[in-house]
Amino acid sequence: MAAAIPPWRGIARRRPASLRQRLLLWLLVPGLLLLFALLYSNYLDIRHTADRIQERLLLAIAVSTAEHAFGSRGDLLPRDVEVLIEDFMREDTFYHVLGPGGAFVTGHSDIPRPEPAAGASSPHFYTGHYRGEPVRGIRYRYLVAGADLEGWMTIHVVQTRRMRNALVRSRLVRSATHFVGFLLIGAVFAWIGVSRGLAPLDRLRAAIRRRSQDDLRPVREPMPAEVRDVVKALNSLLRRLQRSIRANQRFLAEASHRLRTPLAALQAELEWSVRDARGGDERRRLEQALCSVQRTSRLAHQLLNLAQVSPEARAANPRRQLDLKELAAETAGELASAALSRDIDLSFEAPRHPVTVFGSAVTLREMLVNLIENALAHCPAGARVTVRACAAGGEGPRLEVEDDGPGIPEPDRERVLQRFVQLEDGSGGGCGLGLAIAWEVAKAHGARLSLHTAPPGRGLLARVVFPAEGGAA
Amino acid sequence: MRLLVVEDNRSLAQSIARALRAGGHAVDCVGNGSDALTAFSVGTHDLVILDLSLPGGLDGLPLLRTLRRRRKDVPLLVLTARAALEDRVLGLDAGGDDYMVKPFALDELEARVRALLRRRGGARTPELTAGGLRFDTVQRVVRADGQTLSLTPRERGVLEVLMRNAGRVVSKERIAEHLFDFGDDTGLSAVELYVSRLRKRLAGTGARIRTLRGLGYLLEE
Repeated sequence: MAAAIPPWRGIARRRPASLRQRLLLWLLVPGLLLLFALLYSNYLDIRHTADRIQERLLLAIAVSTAEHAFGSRGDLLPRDVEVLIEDFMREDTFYHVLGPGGAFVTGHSDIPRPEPAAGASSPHFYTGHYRGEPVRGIRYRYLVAGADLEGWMTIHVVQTRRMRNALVRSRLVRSATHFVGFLLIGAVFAWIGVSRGLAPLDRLRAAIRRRSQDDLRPVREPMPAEVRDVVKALNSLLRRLQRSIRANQRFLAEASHRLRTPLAALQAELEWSVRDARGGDERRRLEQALCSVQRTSRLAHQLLNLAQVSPEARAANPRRQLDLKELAAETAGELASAALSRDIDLSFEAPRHPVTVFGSAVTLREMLVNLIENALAHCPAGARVTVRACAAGGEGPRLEVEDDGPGIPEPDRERVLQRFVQLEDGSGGGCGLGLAIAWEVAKAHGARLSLHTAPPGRGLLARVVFPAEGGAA
Repeated sequence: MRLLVVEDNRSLAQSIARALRAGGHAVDCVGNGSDALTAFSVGTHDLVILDLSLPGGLDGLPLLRTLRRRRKDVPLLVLTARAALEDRVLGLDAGGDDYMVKPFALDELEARVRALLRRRGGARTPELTAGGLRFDTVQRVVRADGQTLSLTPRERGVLEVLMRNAGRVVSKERIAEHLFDFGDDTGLSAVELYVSRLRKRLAGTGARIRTLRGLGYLLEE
């Protein structure tokens, strides 16, 4: 049992992302990550600064308190320190003073103290909790030598961190806003840069699109180094394709010749044999043989035609502006005696003005010949076949071949356009390629061949509608 | 008439020659380009049937051009195995007068030869024959079964165009060009009139002028 394909394989098989998307992704994602890193380092910086500020302040308070607490022996902080704290700090500040040996002198006794492991350094900053809030504290020791007291005094001052936190937050928000602004500007420039950078590819695409479909000449747009190799490979491919098409055409011509001359000789010989035949039986047999040869010739002719109108042969059939009216009149004229010999009334209708299309005269003529011959082959004596060229208002130019013969039943109309499909048993002498050839030529010109019932209600109307100016049929 | 057939496939060449001889012509057959040039310069042929796809690497077109250069008035019927109709244009541009794709029916070949000999009659045969009629273009006399037909000059003009192109459609425009001078604006309805009068005159002769609406008129051979 085959292993299930892991989901990431499926992703890899999807169409590769556009170049623009890839470039922008590689520019913006690392950019974003860098930005976050920058923002974080900025935050650490701000925090460090705010901490140092608070520490300086704590030290100032501690020193001030030390100088005055001794003198007042009370709980009151000196007036200027109080002012400092209330007006400028808006933080809750608590302190106590300890005498030598840790004896409590004054202040709040329950404020947190530094860890014993911190040693006896001074000043020493520490963090703790007091009355449910995080606080930052300082331990300050100083020596007194006086009348009442002698020895090391220790002051602990702790302060809430509200203002410090607010400062950090506001600085951070401001930085982040600036950074996001820079990111957006950077993104815009990245977008412009990427577009500019990819512009040569757009030019290449436009240059190729401007060409007609038959143009196989090499691409000569100047390209940046990265794309040059791709264009070189493309041009080499185009050259190979051109060579291949030409070789194909040469082969076709050669095959055509080699097939047809022996058939021509065979047919001529048989015609003489029929003329020379003595008995009715002999003549009949020879006529049948002649018939077979004629059918083989016709098949060879149609096969080679089919190959000639194929898309691969396109470059060999150059296109230009044509007058459909002229082409159709000429073609119908050429088949006039064939029609008369079958006692079929062939006529032609067209407007006074030219009916122009862009196409290949050779293949369009072949298409029309096949449509007319199809009508001639299937209509009985006395039938009417009308060839028409018109430029109806809304749609594009049209060619029509209408007859009042047996027509083609609706369910068969799709099928009959395929190769080698014939409705009768094949005794009619055709080989089933005529309509297929017509269909291929129409398609190659962007036109559509469709079969309908002729307007009076019986017979066949074969219609080829070409694209209107600048559009598709 | 003396005809030259240039065709490398012997069997086909012989079949063609036999058909032409049966039509009362003398026929010379050659199988390659250089023999063709030799025969062409020695004999005085009235028509050449040339296969474009000759062996020896010599494309039939240069040969065709050479023949045309040597004698401008000789009809050249081109045979080819090439299917492409652009080859037809090339062949006709290079100097061919008509073009047939192999394989073909011998009857068709015979008819085209007759048509070409008729068209390029020139000094030799100023007489056109078609549809059982004989038109002496010098004397301007038309005969059917030996009887002279009485036609107006305009009717004769129409008949001449139709006979020179017997078996092929001639548009009204072309008939008008042949009949009228530049200043004369009588136009296409006049052509219709003349054709209908001509038909009346031809009634009983066995010659038939067919009408193909939108395309023109055709005199059956």
